[in-house]
This record gives sequence, structure tokens and C-alpha cells, in this order.
Amino acid sequence: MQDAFYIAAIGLQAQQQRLTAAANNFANIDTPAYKRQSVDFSAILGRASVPTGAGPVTSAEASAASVLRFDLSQGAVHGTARPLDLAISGPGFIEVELPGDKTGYVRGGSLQINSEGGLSLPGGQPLKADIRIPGGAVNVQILPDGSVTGALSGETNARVLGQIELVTFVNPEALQYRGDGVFTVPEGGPEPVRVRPGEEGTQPLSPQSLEGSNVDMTSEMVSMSLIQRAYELNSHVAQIADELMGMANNMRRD
Amino acid sequence: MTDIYQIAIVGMQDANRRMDAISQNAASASLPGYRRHVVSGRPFTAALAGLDPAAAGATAADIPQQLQLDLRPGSVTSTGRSLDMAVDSDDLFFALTDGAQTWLTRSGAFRLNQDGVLIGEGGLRVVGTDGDIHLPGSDVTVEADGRISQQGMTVATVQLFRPNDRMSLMAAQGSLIEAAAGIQPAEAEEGRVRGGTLEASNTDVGTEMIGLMSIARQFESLSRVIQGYDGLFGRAIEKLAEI
Repeated sequence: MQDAFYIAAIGLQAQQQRLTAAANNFANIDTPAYKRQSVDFSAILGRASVPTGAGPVTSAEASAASVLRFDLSQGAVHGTARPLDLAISGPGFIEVELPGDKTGYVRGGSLQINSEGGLSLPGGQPLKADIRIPGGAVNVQILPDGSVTGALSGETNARVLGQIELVTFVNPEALQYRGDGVFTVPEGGPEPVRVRPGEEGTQPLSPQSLEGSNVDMTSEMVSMSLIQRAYELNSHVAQIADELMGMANNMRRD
Repeated sequence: MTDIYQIAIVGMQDANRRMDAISQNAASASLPGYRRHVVSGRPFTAALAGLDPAAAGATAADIPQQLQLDLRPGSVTSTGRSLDMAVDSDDLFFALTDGAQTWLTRSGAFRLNQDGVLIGEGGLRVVGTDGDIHLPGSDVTVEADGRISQQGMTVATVQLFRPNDRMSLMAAQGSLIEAAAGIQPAEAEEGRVRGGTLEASNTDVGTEMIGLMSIARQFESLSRVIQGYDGLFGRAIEKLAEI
């Protein structure tokens, strides 16, 4: 009987986590390049379930597996006419520097020129690419092949100031999300491969545009009502298990 | 005299088992490919004999395996993820292995591990026509006959399996199914694999709720039986003491 309680509790927790992911998706529906989250149900149940029948099935992958999954499918790319907005069509990420000498991977965004003359994300993380934009440079723009050009003060012809490269992964689903649109490679994760935009299966960059989020309102709404019903069912299970225990406890009359 | 207690206890234990199965079904309502656990009814006399080790002729074989599976298919939904797949034919399954033991599953929510091997629930490796499935990346297409291709080149093939005896399938952890009577590979043309889709759990909220209600009532009436019998017993003792 107590099994029923514990299993119902796991079911409730799992639905709760799904709801958190759905809430995150709704909140970020307008965030550029946001990737839809979902919960890997077997990972939650695998960590907590009471094995029935066969013995426990565990392996290194299962315990290390994160519960959150990211749908890395392409969001819609739309033009913004801002010269430093950058979107990636097709596979690939751009490398950024994170505090503590770590590397993060992003899907583009509204870049800004920082105080050192490099480019950085709105969140302040600088791009790893070697870009030097001297003060007073005008007409700075990013070309589809990844080169950053601009005209120095006093000159009329644009010159190349740096090169943005794309990195691809054999298995991008293994990346971990650390918020703010930044992914990182977990320990022992896939090795990044640097390519020039447009080469080796990647597509040229889409400058002056942003990638929309890939959240689909309809499917999120549908999954939300399913979450509600599954939560309800699990709470009924807990309630009835409680009633049965109450009956068993009250069987003895004085 | 104590027979009535025993009979009521058998009924209550059955109710408990059904309760556990329903709680498992409810918790797994969103687990892809999950198959409902069903407690099969067992003959009452067998259950009663099983309670009493002294009863003649009762062996473990008289009490059938209680936890069976409802193998009806769940609904198939499109996810668009390249490594998700669903089996079209009801009696075919994917197989997952840890090298020593092999389980069947209807859940095609697969992913790649660090070595590029296709894995499913619990990190178990998906069985292909040539053993483990090594993929060069996750940008692949799954064809209807189970071939996994990357840019038009076949890189591996998923093997579907058929259990030798559908009735002997038993529930293991999560969406895994244990085939005690063994499994055999199915021919490629027997079943279709749909890429980018997942089969949902076949937990049915209505059925589970009705099961819950009937368990509650059954338990209640059995507890009344015990209470009534207990009262009867008490009064008999009181009367006897007056003599």
C-alpha cells in the first residue's frame, strides 16, 4: 500500500517538472533563438522508480542523464535591419567566453561592440572569435561568410576586422543549457568542430536578422492540459491509497 | 472459525496489488511507450491455498503471475526529433540490451551516448541488425523499413523483434518489457518504423479512475466484513462468559 503512495508522489513530481518546462517555454516564446525544453520522463522515473519484476536497470548513462531535453530544431529567422543582429540557419553554434575560462555556445543574438573592441552578447559574454573593432569605426557589419567588416575613421573603404566561425557537434543533443541562451559541453561530451559558415554542412550566417524561438503555442497548450489531467489522476491515487489505509486503521473497534 | 478473516485478507491483498498497479500506471501516464500493468484475477481458492502453507496440494505454480501487461497500442504523436521512432505494427517491439539481458520496449525515445551509440531507456543499447547501432551524428533520417540514413547513405538498421509468446510478457522497469519465452527478429517488411514520432503511454485515465473507485469500495466492504465478524466474535465470548 505504501508503494502506491510513493509511486503517486513520483508521478506528481514528474508532472510538476513538465509544468515547469512548459512554463519556461511560454515565458520565452519571444526570446530570440530560445530552444524548447521538454522533460525526459524515463530519466525521472528511472532515478526514482520502485523496480517491478526485473532487477534494477541502471547504467552510467542513465544516472548521468539530465532530466531536461532541448529541442534544437530551427526557429523562424526574421530580418531586423540591425547590422549586428546575427542568426544561424541550420546547424551550428557560435563560441562565447564564460567566466572561469569556460566556453559557451550560442545560436546568435543581438551582438554589441564591447569596450575592448570585440563583440559580445547582450548578457555581456564576449565572442571567442578574434575581432578588433577600433574606436570610431563606422558601418560595422557581419557578412554571411562570418567576416566582420567596417571602415576605420578617416577611411572610406571597408576592411575585414575579424572572422566569426561556427562550431558543430556530432551530437548536439548532449549539450547542457545554462540559461541566457548559452549551452555548454558536459564533461566527456562531444568535441566541437570549427568550420567557416557555409562549409561542411553548415549554412551561411544570416546577418541583420534574429532566430525566433521554436516554441509552438498549440502543442504547449495541449501538453499543459495533459499535464493537468495526469497530475489529477496521480493525486486521486494518493487520495484513495490514503482512504484505504484509513479504513484498515479503523477496522478495530473498541 | 478464522476462515472468514482469511478470506477477507485475501480480498484486501488483491485490492492492494491492484492499487499498486494503478499507481504505477498513473505515474507513467506520460512515459512514451509505457504499457499498462494489469493485475490478472487469480482463482480465489488458489489464493486462499497460497495463504496457508499447510493446505494440501498448493504449489507456487497454482498462483499465476499477477502482473501482466495491457498490450494495446497507445496513440502516436509527431515530435519532429530525428532520433524518435515508433513501431507501426502492434506485435513488434524494439529491443534494448545491456549485453547480458535483452528487454523489449515500444518506446522509441532514443538518444546518442558519448560514444555515438544509440541508447534508449535506462541507457540500454538499441539492438540493430548488426548489434549496437553506431551513428555518426544525430542529423539522420529513419526510413520505414528501419534503416537509419545520413545524407542518403544507410548507416545502420534498427531491428524489430517479436516475442515468442505474447501472453508471457512481463512488466519490467518503466517502459521495459521482459520476454520470458524469448524473442525472435522480425523480417524487415513485417513492420514499419516511423521516424520523428513517439508512441504515447496507453494509460487510460477513465479506466484507472474506475479501477480506483472499485478498489476503494471493495476494500471498504471487506473491512466491514472483518468488523462485523469481530463484533460477532466479541458477543459470543461475552455470552459464554455469562454462563
